[in-house]
Amino acid sequence: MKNSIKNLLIALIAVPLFSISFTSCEDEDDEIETMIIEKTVEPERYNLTINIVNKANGNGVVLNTTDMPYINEAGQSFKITRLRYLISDIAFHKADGSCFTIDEYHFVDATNTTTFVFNPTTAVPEGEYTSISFNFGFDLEDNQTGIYADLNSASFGWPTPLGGGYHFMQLEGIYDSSGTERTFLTHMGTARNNTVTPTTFEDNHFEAKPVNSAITISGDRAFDIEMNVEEWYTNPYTWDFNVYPRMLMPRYDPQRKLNLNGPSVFTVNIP
Amino acid sequence: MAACQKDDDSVTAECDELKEPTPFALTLEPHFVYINPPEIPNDNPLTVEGIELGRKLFFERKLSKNNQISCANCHNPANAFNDKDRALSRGVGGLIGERNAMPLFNLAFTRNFPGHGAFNWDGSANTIEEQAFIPVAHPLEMQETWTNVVSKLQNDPAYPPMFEAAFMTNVIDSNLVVKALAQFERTLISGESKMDNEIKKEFGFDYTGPALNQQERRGYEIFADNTRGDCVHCHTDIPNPLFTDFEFRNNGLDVNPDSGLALVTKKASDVGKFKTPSLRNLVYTAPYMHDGRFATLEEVINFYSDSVKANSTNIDNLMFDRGSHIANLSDQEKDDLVSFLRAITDSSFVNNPDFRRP
Repeated sequence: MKNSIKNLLIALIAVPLFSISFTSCEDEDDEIETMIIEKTVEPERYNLTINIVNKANGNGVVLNTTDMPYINEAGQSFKITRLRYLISDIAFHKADGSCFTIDEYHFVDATNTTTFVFNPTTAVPEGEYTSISFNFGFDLEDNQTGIYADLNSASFGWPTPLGGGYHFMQLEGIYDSSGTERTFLTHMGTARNNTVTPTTFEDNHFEAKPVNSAITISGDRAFDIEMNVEEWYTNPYTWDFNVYPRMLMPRYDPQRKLNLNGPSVFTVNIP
Repeated sequence: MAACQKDDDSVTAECDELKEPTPFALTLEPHFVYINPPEIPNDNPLTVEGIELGRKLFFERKLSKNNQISCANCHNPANAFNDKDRALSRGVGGLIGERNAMPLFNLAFTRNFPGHGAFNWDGSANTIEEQAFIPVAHPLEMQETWTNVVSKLQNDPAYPPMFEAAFMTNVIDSNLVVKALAQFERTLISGESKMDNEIKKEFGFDYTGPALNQQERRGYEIFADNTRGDCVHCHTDIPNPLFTDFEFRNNGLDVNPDSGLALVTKKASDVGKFKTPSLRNLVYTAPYMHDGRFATLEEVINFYSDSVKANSTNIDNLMFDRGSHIANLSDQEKDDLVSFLRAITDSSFVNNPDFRRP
């Protein structure tokens, strides 16, 4: 993963003077630009417990309800039958522009409550952080076909003809289409654009930057990452299930629209 | 640990040291590194002696009431541990079962599911050990009691020493019987075929023998194409060599489907859901589906292309991700897809002497 490369570079350059390094977290378009902050004293590191909370219209997501308890911006009622997604590279940003990134991913499956808790194996250095961010899905460097055994076993791959790598999300359910129940499958991943020659495959992850995410790490900490499902279908694009119900994976426009709608989906709750 | 026998004066004991069973490590094809490793339970580690015992028990007819039926009757190794050409399994006295016998391979990779079991068509068993308990006493299968089975095995001079070697006791009980059976079943790994060679080729591993030919390659592309076959959502894409994600789903066979998983969970939302079977070794496992309704692969493909019941209770959403529940594949596409499925045939597995009657 990208930060593994960064850390390796840092290790080659800085060992053994510095035990903790922070990388520049400005938007850098995947440049490997590294800023090393010298520390004479190794800061304490603390463990995180990240609770994953899935909500729709303010209520906890319940799968396979008999009714259609949720509603999108377009006024379409729906229920959810499946919700699986990936977050990765959770980053802790400092006021000076540096950040500490947890070079790990977490797979959430709403049918499995054990996935509602993410305990990264990487501990975070103590300090004052002005914000938290994370990737939804994988960035280009991490989104490599076949390299994550657990995701392969979960059949979460993204077909090679569509660019390969992995699904970022499978959000599925039933919606009310003028009195008729219809299926929707909001699957997100690499955006294939076959309207141009040659066909392009566009990185479709986004960096979620929830507001009010300042956090002080001075001991083991817990916080919530909350997905608000209805936000996938609004802001800025008001999603109509009748326009984009199914078979979104090979279609460029809905993939990019999900990318645009995605950043407002997440909030972070820090107690 | 020692087996001790008191002397006449009951003061000293003459103890023969029992030998610890020999640990056994599964050998996996290199591309299996791309899936979660097999799950071996801590209370039933694989051992050479345990596997040998399990293999003998797998072919042991004393497990049945009339001493004529063994596990291998419905799970024939020559047919990828399936009873080829029978829609429903046959028990003692020719009684007809309720389900098509499932083939047995790559069971060690099965995922667990919260709320229900991972084994059998309807998720009625949580582990291989638990599954192995079921057929012996089932009224449509072996129709025997475990008490009788244990007695028959205990009185067979071949078995007590084998149990002692495998489990360090010659006192047989049903738990040890199913543990040995499960050990043997966990060794049934199938990972060689033309498609496996294709995966190895794709991911830079050495391989011997052919990979996919042109038609099989076209078939794979239909298999993976979200707008045509879209098989990969449930049967997994490369490099996963299992060709199932083990999930339970209703694939739209009937408008009013069989209870399926709901028999276990008692949830209305699980009616009609059955375990997604692997697509490996289909050449050996006809007929197909939980009730063996399709005699040929062509019938299966015709169903998925043209006959999925959109209004089936609890039909899986993924059946619609081709845009419609109907794919309308051309005859050529159907032929290509069947050709690809036949390319996931592992003849080395069905011919492996380690899996045959000892």
